Amino acid sequence: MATLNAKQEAMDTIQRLPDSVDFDEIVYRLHVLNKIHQGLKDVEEGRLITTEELRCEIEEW
Amino acid sequence: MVIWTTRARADLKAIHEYIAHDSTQNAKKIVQGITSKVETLMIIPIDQLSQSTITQRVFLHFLGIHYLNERGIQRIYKVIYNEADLATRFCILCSDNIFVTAASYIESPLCFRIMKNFSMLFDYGYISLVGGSDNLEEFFDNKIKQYSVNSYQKNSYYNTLLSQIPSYISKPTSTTENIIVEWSDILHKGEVYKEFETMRYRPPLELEKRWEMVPQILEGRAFIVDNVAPILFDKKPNLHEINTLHRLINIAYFNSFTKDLKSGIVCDLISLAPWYIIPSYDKNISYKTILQKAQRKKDLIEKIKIASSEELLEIKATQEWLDVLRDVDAEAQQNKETYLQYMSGRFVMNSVLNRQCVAIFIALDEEFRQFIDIIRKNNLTPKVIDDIGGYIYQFNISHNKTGSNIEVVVKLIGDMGPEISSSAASNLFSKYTPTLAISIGIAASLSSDIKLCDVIIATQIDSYGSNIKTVTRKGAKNTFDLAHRGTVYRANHSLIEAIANFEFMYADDYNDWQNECSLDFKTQQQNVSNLVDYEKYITPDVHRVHLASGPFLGASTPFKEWLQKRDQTIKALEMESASIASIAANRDNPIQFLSVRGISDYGDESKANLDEYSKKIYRSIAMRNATRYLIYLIKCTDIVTNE
Repeated sequence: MATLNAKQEAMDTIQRLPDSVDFDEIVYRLHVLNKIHQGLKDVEEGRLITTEELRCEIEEW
Repeated sequence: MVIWTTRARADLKAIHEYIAHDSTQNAKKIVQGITSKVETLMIIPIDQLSQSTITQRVFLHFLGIHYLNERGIQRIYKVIYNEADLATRFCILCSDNIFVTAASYIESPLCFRIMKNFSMLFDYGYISLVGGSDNLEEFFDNKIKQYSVNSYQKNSYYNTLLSQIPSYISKPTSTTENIIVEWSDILHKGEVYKEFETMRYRPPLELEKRWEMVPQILEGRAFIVDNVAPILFDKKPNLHEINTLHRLINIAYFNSFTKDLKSGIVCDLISLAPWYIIPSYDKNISYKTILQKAQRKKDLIEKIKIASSEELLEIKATQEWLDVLRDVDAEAQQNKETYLQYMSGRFVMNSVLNRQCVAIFIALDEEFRQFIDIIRKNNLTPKVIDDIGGYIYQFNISHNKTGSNIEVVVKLIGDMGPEISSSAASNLFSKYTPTLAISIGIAASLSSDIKLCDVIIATQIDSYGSNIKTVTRKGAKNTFDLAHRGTVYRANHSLIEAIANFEFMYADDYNDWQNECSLDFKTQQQNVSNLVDYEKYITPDVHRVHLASGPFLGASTPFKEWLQKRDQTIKALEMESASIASIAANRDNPIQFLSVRGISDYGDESKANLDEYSKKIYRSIAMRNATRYLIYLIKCTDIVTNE
């Protein structure tokens, strides 16, 4: 997954969409892609909490 | 385990803050909803995302004998049979090499019956048995050693020896050895505790030590949950422990087959679906997708269901079937999102079909307090469900014999009397359809045979308050009498029979119940000073009686007499059962109903006095005894499992 650079991956994503796709959808797909990458990076760099910890935190919000 | 990134947490918090502007309560609800939805990720088999139609080789894992037993085959035999049969037909239509374990073919009547439907295909080599030995004869010899003399399995081996058998493939590796390898692997990775641990469950400390000894202690006996569980746990293992063992052993067991055979499996089954991922080494066949697509063709599914082996092969070659396969393929290519959605749909289906549910109604807070206390003492942990309009408490009880999972939902009505309990019942039934509804609580005894703290089961509930009529008393113009007309609800005969036999069929459990109750009584009475004359109430009995249920709280002797004028055999009195029974009975699909009550007083003038000097201890003991009794009934008898 990490072998592609951002530009290639974005182009691949758009390429796979049907011809009739509209701009909103393209922007949304790229947004999701970006989120996934950010998430993966967070995982790599250990910015993580468990569901249990999160549940405890929510109690205090 | 699902892990959150801190970024996701920040997003979630932003959502919370945004909604909290309007309502902090809603904000909390939505945030909690999101986190619990995310947890379903744990049960979605992401590995099975890529699936397609034509599979070279497929292993019918769902016909595995232990797997079938675990799915509760006795309970819903017909549903499981039909699904397994149709899934096998799909496999024949989608694949040319179908494998079944030799053990299952010989030991499981269901597997055998299904395979017999396709016996013509045996000669063509479409269906093969797979076993660990070099040839079938040796396989028998080895298997027989694993089971005790004269067991059911052993006899069935000899019986099937004589009948027609598919071709046999010798499995290149030993399944038991493969399971032991994975078993030890879990130990060496230090993951034994992790596999069992949940938010609420802490495994016993010596688990790891025992884990290590399991292969040795088994000494060649089959590596199955029934044999392994007693080595790991001193007590009878609870449902979570059993399920975890099933998961770990089944994954290793099936993996050994699919790996050796380089085969796929049937995924997306409904009643037969596992809640874990079975590793596979060829494309999987999606039962549900094929079913969906084939249903679009007129009569196709019906044709497939009744087709002979030859006819199946004919269907396999038709354009119509190829169209179905093309549709299934298209579906498989579609994006992950659709797939995930329909996967979660599958889990809903699964839980609906397999559910055996008991709904319990409790009138008063003081009764509920005792009930929950006993439930907790039985190591059951109720969780609160609040999305059906009002709160209900839910937990599972594992059946002693079948090990099946019985879901219990409890509704606290919060007050006495018929109106409020009937609205609670209709509300719950509109969201849940239990197999059995139970009203539990305390009642007054109207008979000297039935003493305080005994438990009664209503064989008949007399709703004396419905249709009541006033008549002017003869010769006394200013006084009226109430004339009985009331409705009567009889408990289902087989239910009562099961309960009547409980004491004798499960004498040990019945004694345990009595002992637990006496022990509890002795502990509780220490808190009450000056409790006199209580010895005769220490050991409770069970009575099956007619119960009067209606709007009046009984604390008067003339009222007792008035009730017994109608029916001499009315021996107990309370206020809720009739209204719940009426809701349960007056439905398109009536729900079985049972009333279980503990005796707290004698329904006469002594009531107030009794409550006072005993500090209501008889009220709480009555409820505690009834609750304990009910748990035993659910666990031991087939009052819930019986259809």
